Amino acid sequence: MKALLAVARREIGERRFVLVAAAVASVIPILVPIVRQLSGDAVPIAREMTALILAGTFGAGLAVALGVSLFTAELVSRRMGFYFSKPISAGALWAGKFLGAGFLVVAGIVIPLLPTLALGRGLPHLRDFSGGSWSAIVTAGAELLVLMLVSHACAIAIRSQSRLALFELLAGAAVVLGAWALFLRLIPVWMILLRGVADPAGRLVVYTTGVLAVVLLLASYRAIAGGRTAPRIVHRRQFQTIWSALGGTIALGFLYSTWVLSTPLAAVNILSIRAAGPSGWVWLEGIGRGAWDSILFDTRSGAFERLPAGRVKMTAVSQDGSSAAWAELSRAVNPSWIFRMVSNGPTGAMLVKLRSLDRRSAPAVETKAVLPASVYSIALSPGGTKLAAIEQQRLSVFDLKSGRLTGAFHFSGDQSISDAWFETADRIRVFERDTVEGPSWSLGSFEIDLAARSLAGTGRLTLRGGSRRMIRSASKDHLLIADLVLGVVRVVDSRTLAVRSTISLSGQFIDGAIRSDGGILLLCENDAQSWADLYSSAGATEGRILLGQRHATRLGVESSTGLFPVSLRGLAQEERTLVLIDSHSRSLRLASQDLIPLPASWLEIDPDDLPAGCEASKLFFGLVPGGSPLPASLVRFDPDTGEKRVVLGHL
Amino acid sequence: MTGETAVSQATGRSASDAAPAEVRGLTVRYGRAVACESVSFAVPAGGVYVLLGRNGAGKSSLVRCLLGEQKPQDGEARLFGESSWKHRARLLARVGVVPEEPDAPPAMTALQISNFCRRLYPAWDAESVTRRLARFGVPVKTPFGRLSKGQKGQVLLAMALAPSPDLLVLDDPTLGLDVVARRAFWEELVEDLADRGTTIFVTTHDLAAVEGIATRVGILKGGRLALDEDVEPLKSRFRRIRYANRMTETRTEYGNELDAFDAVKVQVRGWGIDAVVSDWTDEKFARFRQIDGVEGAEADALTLEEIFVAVAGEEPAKAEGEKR
Amino acid sequence: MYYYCGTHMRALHIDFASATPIWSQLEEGIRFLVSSGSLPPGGAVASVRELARDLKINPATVAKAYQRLADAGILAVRRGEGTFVADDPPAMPRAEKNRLLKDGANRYAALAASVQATPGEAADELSAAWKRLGHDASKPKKEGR
Repeated sequence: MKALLAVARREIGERRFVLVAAAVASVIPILVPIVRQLSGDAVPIAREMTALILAGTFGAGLAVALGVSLFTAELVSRRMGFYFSKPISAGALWAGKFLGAGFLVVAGIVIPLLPTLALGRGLPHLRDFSGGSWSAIVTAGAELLVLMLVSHACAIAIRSQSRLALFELLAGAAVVLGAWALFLRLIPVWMILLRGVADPAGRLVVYTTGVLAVVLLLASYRAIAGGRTAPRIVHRRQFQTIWSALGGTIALGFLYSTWVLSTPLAAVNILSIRAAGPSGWVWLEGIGRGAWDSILFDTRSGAFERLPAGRVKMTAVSQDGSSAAWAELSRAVNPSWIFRMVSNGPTGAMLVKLRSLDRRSAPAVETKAVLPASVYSIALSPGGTKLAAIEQQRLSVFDLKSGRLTGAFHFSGDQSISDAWFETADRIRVFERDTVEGPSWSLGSFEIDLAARSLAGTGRLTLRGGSRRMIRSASKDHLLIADLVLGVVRVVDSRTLAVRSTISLSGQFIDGAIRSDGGILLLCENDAQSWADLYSSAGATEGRILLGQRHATRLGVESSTGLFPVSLRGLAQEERTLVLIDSHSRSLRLASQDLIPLPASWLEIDPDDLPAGCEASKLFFGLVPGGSPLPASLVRFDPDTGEKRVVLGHL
Repeated sequence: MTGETAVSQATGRSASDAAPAEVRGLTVRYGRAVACESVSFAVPAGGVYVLLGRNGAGKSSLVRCLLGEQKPQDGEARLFGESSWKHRARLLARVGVVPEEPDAPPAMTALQISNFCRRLYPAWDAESVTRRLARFGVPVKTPFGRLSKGQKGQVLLAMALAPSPDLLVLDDPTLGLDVVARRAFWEELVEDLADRGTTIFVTTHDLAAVEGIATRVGILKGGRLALDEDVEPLKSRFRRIRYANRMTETRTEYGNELDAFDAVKVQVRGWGIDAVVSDWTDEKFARFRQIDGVEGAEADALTLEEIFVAVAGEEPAKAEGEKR
Repeated sequence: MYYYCGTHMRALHIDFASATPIWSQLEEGIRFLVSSGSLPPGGAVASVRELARDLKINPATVAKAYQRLADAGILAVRRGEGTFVADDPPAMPRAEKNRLLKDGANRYAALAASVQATPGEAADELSAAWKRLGHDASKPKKEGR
């Protein structure tokens, strides 16, 4: 300890002119407003800005100068023996020198600020920095110390004249590439979690700098302790330590990423489950081993496939449920991703992956189709042979087998494409509507004939009204449009947009469905109770089923025998009930105390695509009876037979 | 008579201790170039060990290894019986060092260096430093970098002696010094020897100066230790033999008259043969003179310098000149 | 005091090129100074430190010579005061003296023979050298006891 302090004192003593220079510099901010004849508010601002710039440049210059000369000057002029021929341990020498230099750097930042701090009331511009002005100064100091370590390492590498220095660039490039590859591996699992973090880019910089600082400190110590007076050995040890530590860190990172990416389903804390098409596939999302997981899971076979969660931008399942496709960001990515993670995550060109949902164990294959960044939605043809990519005013069709663009259809005007689906493998239905909410709105229906390469408008509907919801029938030939402001529900033909029936709501609209027989079911409630109204396809009232003094929270998918599961919650207490509405006999039956229907689909534009009685209609969240309202398991429940089986337990 | 008591104390104490400095199988390489190849020797306590060697013979590498400043590729350097690489900082508290090149920071004055060192050693005789420097007129408040080479040497010797070390390691300390500075340096050293009986390990080209001081000599040649011996037996076994070599009618053999000796160097001169032998005895010489045709044989003892030239094969002064 | 013995002991000369060890040269030299009266009985001799410095030799070597001389009763060490010539320095034992003479004579004779000097020439040179040392060749110093 005595030796350490003696070395530190010597370093400071030899460079005491730095303190004098800093003291002289500290006067400049006071002089600047006088020289420039400023007055009023301009004076403290000019003073503060000058002081900050001075402190920053002075500190940075000092950090570089000290880093470069601290050990290197004595090493290359063969004067390290002065210390090593004396009873000073390598650790004391190393720590003493860096302590002395660190003190000078910190003094170099703080001293130029002192008169300004004393005159004004702190440094208002730095107060915006999280943690206040002192935190900003401490952060700057820490970063300058890292800068000093980097300068030191560079100076050793360059001035030791060792041949290894040539490999330094190679090793550096390898580490940067390795780090980048690791980043790409981890981004899918970290991205969504990072979005919840304030200033992820800043944090990433802090962590990287921290790792670098630890590695550089370790390397400089090992180099000095192992090389002592020999510049080349000092450099060799530094080289070995820096690159093996960084390489090791990256290798560990890769091991970690492999561990994370192979998280078994049982280790995933599932946060959401949505049906992915009619055939019983679900999309699970959750956190496993500290990272985000996005998994395509087949409830019938238990097969699953992990999706690169952070990179998947859009998903689609074909109407017939035979194929799923998703667009994910290509792996050739842009470093600015890190900085865009806060908003919507990364953007860029996307490639399309296609997975057969019929062949359960077949992994997804990468198609040759490449989508531009402006695509915001995709649709898949029956059988998964064609893909429609939807942009603001363009719909492009790709042949997935060849990856070729087979057609592009442009829309003009101030409306944009809101929805599109394949009616057959060669016919696409496209809807176009206002981009902004207004007192009235219009919806256009178009038909694309892929064989004829033609685009034709088939109907247009203009309505007054405000907030609305659109629900498609499972066969997609009709649309249910609920106007929540006017309290009106209209059923229109998808092709012509002709209004088939108009129904006045009897209460607050909760949910609705167009039944497989064409009839209409609307869930409504008021403050006291909830009920289901049944109408014929023409809109004639067929009856009302009272659901009691409970909230209707979710409408499930129609079963093969016309049963609709409805989840009810007690008005006062967290009691859950699943009831079945029989749309034929207009009766109600209690199904279970502990089941909730899954949200119907994973498609972002509109749910409710699932045909009556499909496998997905039998999937429910299971609750612990009388326990937590959070789902505990995924349950297959057949409303027709009452058969119940847990597919995934302990969510 | 403090000198006498100190000398006997030093010799008395060190007998039981491990050698103050020792190297065992020391090998130092720089890439493919070999500086030392399995060099072993020990510096006896209280003795003055002089390591000689031509320029680039590996002396400085060896000194750096001995001081724990450099790690040998093989073998071990020890100070007071412990590895100097592993326990350098602790062991060096008992060692004073004068390096080959003055290595103190150029901006520090002698006074500042003394103040710096004072915190490092258990005992520091700051007064002796100022006294010594005053005696040689070395300014204590002038930055080290602005002192003359001789003054730098005096400063470093003063610093090396101030902690009253048990061992002094001097790596060619008078290299580049003029005659006056050189004499002053060695006189200082002899006085310290008399006062404390410090063990000294020194590498030097200044053979004349160490002739009277050395108790043991090592000669490094091509990285190997060609010689490691106490000075007295060494000087008693080396002789220069000069003789005229004549053909006589009765002579049957010619040119093998020196076979009884280990002749390390044989030169043919106009007047006859000039040879240096390393295993001289009176008896062998008596027999040598009886050889038919050997005439006017004379034997002279050699100085250390002459022995060095004979063993190392080059004039030390010339080597020194090359170095500058 | 030191000045006094200094001047006299400067007469000591060490030949580094000699085959004789330094301590032995020193011992012989001091014996000679004592026997020649240059260092009078009871007189102080130079300290180890001083003599080592003046002769540029290892103090341990001086100490060894002094020790041997003290053992032989020629020098006396008085603690705290220094080293002095014994009040009554003993002559060398006859056997030792004879051995030394014989050794020296052998060496001298061998040298003389090698330069093809006659015994007479050798004897003349010896007497001349004796005279140069300041000794009266005819009158040996007080001998034995």
